[in-house]
Amino acid sequence: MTTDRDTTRRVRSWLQTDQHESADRLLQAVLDAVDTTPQRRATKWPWRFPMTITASRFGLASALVAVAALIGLTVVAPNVPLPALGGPPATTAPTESGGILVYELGGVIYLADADGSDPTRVGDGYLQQTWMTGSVWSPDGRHFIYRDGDGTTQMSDAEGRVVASFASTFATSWSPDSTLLQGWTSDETRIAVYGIDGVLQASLALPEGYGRLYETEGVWAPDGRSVLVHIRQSDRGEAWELPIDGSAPRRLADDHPFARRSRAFSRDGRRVAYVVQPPEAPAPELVVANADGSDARTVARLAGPNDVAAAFLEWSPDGERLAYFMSRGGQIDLVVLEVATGTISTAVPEFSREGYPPFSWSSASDRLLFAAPGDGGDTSLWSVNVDGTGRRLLVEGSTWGAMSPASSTDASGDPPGEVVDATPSPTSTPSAAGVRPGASLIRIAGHDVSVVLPAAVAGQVPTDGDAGNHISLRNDVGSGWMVWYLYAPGGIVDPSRDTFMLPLPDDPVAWLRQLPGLTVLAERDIEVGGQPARLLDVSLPGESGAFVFVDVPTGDSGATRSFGVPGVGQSRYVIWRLGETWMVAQGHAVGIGALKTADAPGDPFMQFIADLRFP
Amino acid sequence: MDTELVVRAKRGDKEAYARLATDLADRFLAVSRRIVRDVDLAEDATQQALLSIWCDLPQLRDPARFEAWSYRLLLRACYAECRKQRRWSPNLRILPADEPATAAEFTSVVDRDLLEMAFRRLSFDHRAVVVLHHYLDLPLDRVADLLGVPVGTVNSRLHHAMRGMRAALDADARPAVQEAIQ
Repeated sequence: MTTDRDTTRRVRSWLQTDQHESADRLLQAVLDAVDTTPQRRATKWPWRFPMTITASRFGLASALVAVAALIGLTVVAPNVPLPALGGPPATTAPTESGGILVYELGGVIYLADADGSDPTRVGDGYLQQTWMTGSVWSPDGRHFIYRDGDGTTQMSDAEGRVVASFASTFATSWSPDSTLLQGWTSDETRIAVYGIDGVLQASLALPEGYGRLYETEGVWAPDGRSVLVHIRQSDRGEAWELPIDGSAPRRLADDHPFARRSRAFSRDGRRVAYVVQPPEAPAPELVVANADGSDARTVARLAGPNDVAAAFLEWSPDGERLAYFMSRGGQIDLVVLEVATGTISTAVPEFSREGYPPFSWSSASDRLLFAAPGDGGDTSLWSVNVDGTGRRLLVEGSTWGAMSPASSTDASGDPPGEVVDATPSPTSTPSAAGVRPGASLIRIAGHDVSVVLPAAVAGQVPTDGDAGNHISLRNDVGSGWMVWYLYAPGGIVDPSRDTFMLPLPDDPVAWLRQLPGLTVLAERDIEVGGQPARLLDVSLPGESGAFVFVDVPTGDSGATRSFGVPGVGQSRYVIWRLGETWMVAQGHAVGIGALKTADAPGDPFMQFIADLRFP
Repeated sequence: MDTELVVRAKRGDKEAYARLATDLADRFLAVSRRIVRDVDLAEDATQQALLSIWCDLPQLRDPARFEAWSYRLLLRACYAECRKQRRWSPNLRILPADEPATAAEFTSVVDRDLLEMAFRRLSFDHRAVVVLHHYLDLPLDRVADLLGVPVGTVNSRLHHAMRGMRAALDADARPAVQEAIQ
């Protein structure tokens, strides 16, 4: 038996033993490259409108460009590289069944049709692999998550628009109802639960006396009300349930299905599969039971007598099949079990001799998506029928991808940022109880907001509602404030990162002030809904004192390019307390006289803020 | 690291950059080789990191933070290379038997092979911590600084990594995944 000290000694010795190799050759190549490679400028364009990538924005973009042209300004391209459209040509075969494919290629995330065709770049980042570290797509197919180069988790909608960001978590997975995400915190001591607005909803502590999670991901309970974790304690595993309402963790009985090895719940939460090792059996066995543990039956043996079972069970979306690794004679096959009949077919023979390649199901439960080396030796993304036939190359060079579980366009549920009740009555529903006559009830990421819309934006509620964490209202150019945003409580766009950064820091005013490149032009105290609030007018130095970005659609893909229009705009932030968190409203001004106009009596943006109510 | 050199390179002084890169190159290659376990990928990662240093230096606000910042670029490049390679394929590069055995009693080909296989099963984050701590001999707080994560996280990763290595060595050639499915 190796001791910890032995292990450390051997590892250190091994690491130090490797012979020295000089970097002289590659160093010269780098120095040669530097001769022709310019350095990046320190100041980046720190802002763009957080608008949707839709054809509907074309009108706004056109209007902005027109305004710039009218006042004699030149539209210039920003000095940051624009995202390339499309990925590499995918070698594909005929048709795949439905769904949207998200994949990573060289540290870049792409969205594509199910057969890998028509790729569109989403952003830099990596997908987590589903068989042990959580899920990529939400069960309703509306959103997916990936981790960017900085380790921040980005949430995107099914069209590739980033709608929220939150601190890095590990083994992140979606709740069964697609409204929450849970994952380890970076210090692996707590489970963080985020909403789809990117706001931290809960931070679940481990039971008292337990230091940290241990070698296991958290799993959503089938009802979505708690996260189940396995905690290793003195060489034995304990299963615990951490309720997301913050109530005390509960230890699960050792025969609880979740306490079993490799347990996996079906997507409808009704059944569970797990692995057991009966004392008399030559190899571990696969058991399927009801979610409560009843009606358990052994459905398969997982390995040959001398092999190690390698499970990683994945239910098909329809709950009819289980895919898993099976070790045979030292090789690892990817097999599919028909749960009803017990029939096992080999989808990918000799899948691997080392490690466990990622795989996932197609939305129609008829094919498997997997990553494996092709003829050239490089890993590519493939799909295959469950019986091993119809193997197709989807994306050459991609190391991982995931298929949306259902067509996002078919997904049910309310869109974010919607108008719930524009004409409330005295007998309105509880959610509309606080709506005043003449006001509309708008829901932002689950929060109800009652608004009275000034004439300037009447009939435009909301125009986008794209991110789920804000609503946007468009004015016309002449009134000074072009676009208004109302962020969900605790949320705001980080203008220095061109992305959503949620939740807001403890002191959002101070946070805003210190953002690189952002200059506060004016600042004063005001009142919003009886609460003290802070108003900041901001701009950027170095670009003629002001800026605005417009996003212009390019081609037919729906993607956009950003153009900076120096010298024509500014932003106004209004920040105030709402209960335990902060609210931020923001307006973009366009035009030389914007500030003056905005300060004028009856400014519609300020009137809009003053009229906000939170039922 | 000479802060003055960093400041000069930040302003576009190629000679200053060349001196910085020369100082870093061998160390970067050694670290990246140990993390990605492939000479070609390590060279690519090193090259990419050195070039990124040049390109992104103007954006480094505090020259005194150059070393930590440059290692982060290296680790990012290593990570990208790791993602490109066949992460689960054998791809073993067993050192030739006649390679000088400079250290100790544990340098047999078999032992190295076991260590190699065990190490390859670690995640990138775990490998990085092991190499920075056990190869560069950096204390955990420095490793945390380089990685930009809390010390507790480094502790945790190191613990998991060494435990994984131990399990693999204990199990001889048995796949370490047995631990993962307990």
